[in-house]
Amino acid sequence: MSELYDFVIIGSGASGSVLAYNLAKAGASCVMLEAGREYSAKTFPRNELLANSSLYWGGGMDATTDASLLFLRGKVLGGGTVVNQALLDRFDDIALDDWRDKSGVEVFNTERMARYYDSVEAHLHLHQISRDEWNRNGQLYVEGFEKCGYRWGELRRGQSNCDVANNDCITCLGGCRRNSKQSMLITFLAKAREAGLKVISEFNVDGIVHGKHLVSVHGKHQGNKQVIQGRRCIVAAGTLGTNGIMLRSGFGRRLPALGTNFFSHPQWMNIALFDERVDAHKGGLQSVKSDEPRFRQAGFKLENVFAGPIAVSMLNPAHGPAHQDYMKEYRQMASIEVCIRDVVPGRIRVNHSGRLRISKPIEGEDLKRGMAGVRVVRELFESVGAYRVITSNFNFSLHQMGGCAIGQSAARSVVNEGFQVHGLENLYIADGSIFPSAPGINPSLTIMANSQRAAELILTECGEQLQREQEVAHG
Amino acid sequence: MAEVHSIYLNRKQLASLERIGDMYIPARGDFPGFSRVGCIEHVDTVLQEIDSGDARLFALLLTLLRFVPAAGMHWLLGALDNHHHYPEPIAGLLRLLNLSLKGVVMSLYYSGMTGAGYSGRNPLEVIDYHVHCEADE
Repeated sequence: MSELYDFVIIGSGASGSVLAYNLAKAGASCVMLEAGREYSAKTFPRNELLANSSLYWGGGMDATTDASLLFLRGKVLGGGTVVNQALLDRFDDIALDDWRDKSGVEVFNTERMARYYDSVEAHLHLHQISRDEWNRNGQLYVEGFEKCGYRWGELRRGQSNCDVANNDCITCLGGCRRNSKQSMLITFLAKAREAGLKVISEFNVDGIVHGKHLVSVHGKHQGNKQVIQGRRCIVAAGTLGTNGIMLRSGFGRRLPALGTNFFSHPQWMNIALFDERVDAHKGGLQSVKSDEPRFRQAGFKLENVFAGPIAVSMLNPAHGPAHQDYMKEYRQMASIEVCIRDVVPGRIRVNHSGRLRISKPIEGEDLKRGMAGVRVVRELFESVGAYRVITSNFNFSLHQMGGCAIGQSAARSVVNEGFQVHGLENLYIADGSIFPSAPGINPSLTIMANSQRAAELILTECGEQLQREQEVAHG
Repeated sequence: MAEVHSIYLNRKQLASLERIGDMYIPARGDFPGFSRVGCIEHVDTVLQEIDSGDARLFALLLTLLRFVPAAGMHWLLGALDNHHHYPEPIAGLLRLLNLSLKGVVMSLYYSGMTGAGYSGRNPLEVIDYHVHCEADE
């Protein structure tokens, strides 16, 4: 007879790992299922192509049905935290007040959320990137902001020892080779394993069957069919993964909001060409952000950023000699990304074979926000002497959110205030899919904080249930 | 073309991809041409992680494009690059084709991986791309 776990946790990213750590530490028997492979600092791929094909869903080329938006999402033990830039910011009043209004969940308030942020931050090394760590790309960003009269701020990153004077963090997009970036792999997940968490990597979940007393998770481990059972199941597969699993499991029939109100912080990459060496690929990859209230109100933010040669080659709409002339200037490129707080909702569906079909139009107010940000970027780059600015003619998304919104009503949300799926008492979700709207702020830290709260609520509920069972047993 | 073995593309499809790759990146100045570098030997590394249905469609696309004359292909590559000038849903189709063709070609060419028989300059050396990040000794 197969083992019956207290908790089956699907996904190993910012949500799954925080939950796994708390539950395992409390003594629950937990198993974590991850679709990707397990790597370490020594084994992360050493080039951009191998990183894209090994660590990202779809080889880094996951897209909406009309290919207007490309999704970069990690498929690796540790999830997106292994491949993202670990930019960890708390949500502000604008984001949390909007969530409280939309969901009716009172905890979404900067004061009430503070203790959950405090709790997860205590497990992470957090570093405010200082001026002496900027590369020329960061310097140009700040020079542009100051010349144009916009406020900028230092990025806060989860890192312990990057030593950017001697290391190039662009490689971080393929996993941190120094165990500096505070991914789940070296933080919560590592501690969860010490507390007894069992991890099964290369496990692709096909669907979930929810029962009164247990949940069965059906899938394939390295191609072989397998069923894993737990008294409870937490789906933490990232927004697209979680929505996909829930839809393939047939829960859309009882949850009309499932897959709706999908948001993605669409980004426009902008490359500026200079006569000087910029070397944006050297040293620290990202260091500064916009801190301008006007931008926040207008619904966009700007960060300095760059990318490897493969990604950069795709950003210029050219081929042949024009492409080669552009790529020859790689070391003279600077880059700023425009990231919008999108309000036009998308939709996540699955087709008859279970494959994700995602529609997310970039139109209306979202397009207006993006173009407003792009205009500012051009102003910034021109103020510091760029001779050419290229804006990508397709969009990226590094933050996928929604589809399983948290809320009071089963008609308009998927999980309740306690992160339980409406009507499915043994099923929980706390990852980015529960976001009721796009916050316009990097979501990773808030996913961890929500998951911290979810773990506390689940443990309280489990403790109460155990107490009730004991009272019944003892008459 | 040196002997290339792919489980996703047959010989004619590989030849089609090389032809298209040379249009994206011809031999010019410091840049070795796409086919010269031999990076196509690693095409399965790119295709193995995409949906199997998409890989089959990509193979079919390469078969069809074999029959498009050079002038027509150059026009098509220009249209793919400038998909934003076209109305939907044509623009959507062009984006998909661009992502497929240009995505595969650029992923291979700028991967730093070359063919077994290639001894010329690596494209990453041509653009002077060198990065270092390792744990402290």
